[in-house]
Amino acid sequence: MSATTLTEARLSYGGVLKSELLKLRSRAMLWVTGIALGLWALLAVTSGTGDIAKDPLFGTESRLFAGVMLAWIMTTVYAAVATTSEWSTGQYRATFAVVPRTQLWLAAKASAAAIYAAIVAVLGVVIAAAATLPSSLGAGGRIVLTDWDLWRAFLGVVAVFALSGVMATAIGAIVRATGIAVIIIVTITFILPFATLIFGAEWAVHISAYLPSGTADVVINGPMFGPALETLPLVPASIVLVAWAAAPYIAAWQLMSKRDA
Amino acid sequence: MIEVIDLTKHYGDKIAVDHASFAAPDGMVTGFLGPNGAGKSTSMRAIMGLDRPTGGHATVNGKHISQHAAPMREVGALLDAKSVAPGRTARAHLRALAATHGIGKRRVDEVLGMTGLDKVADKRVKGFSLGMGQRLGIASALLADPQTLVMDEPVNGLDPDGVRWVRDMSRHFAAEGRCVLLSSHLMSEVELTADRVVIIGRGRILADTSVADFTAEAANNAIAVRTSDDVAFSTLLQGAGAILASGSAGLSVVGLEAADIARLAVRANLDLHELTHTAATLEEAYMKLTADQVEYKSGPSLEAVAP
Repeated sequence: MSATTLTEARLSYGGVLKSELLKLRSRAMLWVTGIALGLWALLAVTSGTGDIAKDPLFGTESRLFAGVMLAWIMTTVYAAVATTSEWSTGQYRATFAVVPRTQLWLAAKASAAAIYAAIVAVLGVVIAAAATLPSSLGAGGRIVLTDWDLWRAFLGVVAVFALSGVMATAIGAIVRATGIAVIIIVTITFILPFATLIFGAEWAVHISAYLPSGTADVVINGPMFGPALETLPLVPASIVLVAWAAAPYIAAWQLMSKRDA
Repeated sequence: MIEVIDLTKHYGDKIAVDHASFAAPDGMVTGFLGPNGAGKSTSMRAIMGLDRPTGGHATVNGKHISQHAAPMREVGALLDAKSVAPGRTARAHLRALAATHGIGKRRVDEVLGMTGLDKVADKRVKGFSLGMGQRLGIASALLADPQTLVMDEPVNGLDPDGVRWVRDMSRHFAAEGRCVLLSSHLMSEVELTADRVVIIGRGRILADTSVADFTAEAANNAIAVRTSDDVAFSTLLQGAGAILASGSAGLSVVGLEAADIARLAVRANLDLHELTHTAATLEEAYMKLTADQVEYKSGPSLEAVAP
């Protein structure tokens, strides 16, 4: 690069975002993404074609999203680790020496995590479609590309993954320790929902509806009601899901301006 | 130019930097010296915006580093050789840093070549020696060809060729009118490289002066004198108002100019074998100044404790 080009160098959100996307590209990311997508496809295939006989449209579409849960947790944990690794490896010194506007860095890091997670979601649906549609259609299933439920589910999955990427980045930036971040994320995305199921009490079911998995379920599958089951309506669930990302992000944003790097 | 004004940094009850003020001007290499735990690294972190001061502030080229449109163009820093994710390659690390300011791949290749890392550019950093890590840190600092360089122990772990390269690079930067602030425990290296020294002890600035003035002051402007009869001449010198300290060979004279000493010797018909201004080394001057400021004292040497 000539000196002329160097003099035009400027710190920008776009530049930091590109930097953070470059950092995400690692052997670990390939492993995590590969395993997440592999499990998604495996769960989609093994979910079977039983529901297709009852409802050819729902049965076909629901197979596409059967593997969401594990891929979602893995992607979210990876986003948190990608953030905490800044501190665990000492990389933060090099990062903040060139991006001293730490809140700009947080915005770019969260965006990079959201983009990565959204791409995993899109790939997951596409791979699940490729893996299941031949057998689903062969079993009498059908798919309608103009179906609102299909698009809500698809956009919902992408939104859930992206928002969880933001949440994970923010939690990572707050705690700065990989172990603690992973424990927090696994607890709120996986352990708490199961714990509330085990309790089965009314209050536990009520809490479950507000957890990330409960709200994500509504955004992807639509509201459901039944015994020992309570979900929020779509709009409140969407708002709560956004709050799960926004609250830690705002806390991290505040801390970035007050703490030492 | 770096300006540190009344900088104070507390970590809980511990005072790391205590109302420190100093400047590192453009066109010079400023050595930043002090015992372990004196506050050098904390001051450098505050300059780079990594630590938020409890009081006071630090500016680079007139502004806090975060207020510059292109911080990398203003200041490049090597704060620690272990500032890289170990699984990343040297090239990937530099590309990620360069991307923040829209700097392209060609410049990354240039700095890899400048620092001698081009042959290991695609190897993972976890396999790097300390010296290679230092070189990568210096490559990061040079990426945007900055106006100011801040380097914490830049020659730590480098081979002699690398040490010389850092010295020449620092001198070259200063000769171009840029500012270099570097810390080191290698006094001989700082003496060869720096124009000025800032010395910090227990968080306070103990000296902020040129290397020449600092070493001259430490030697008390003494003059080493040897004559054909030092015993007789010492009486003459004392009569003329000189203060004497006996040197290992000859006399160490304070309080008279060299010309006056020469005149006295001629009048006394003595042969003058030596008449030289003595200067302390930077290390001697530094040890003298910081003798009471060392937080972590070494024990006696192995020779001294041997049975």
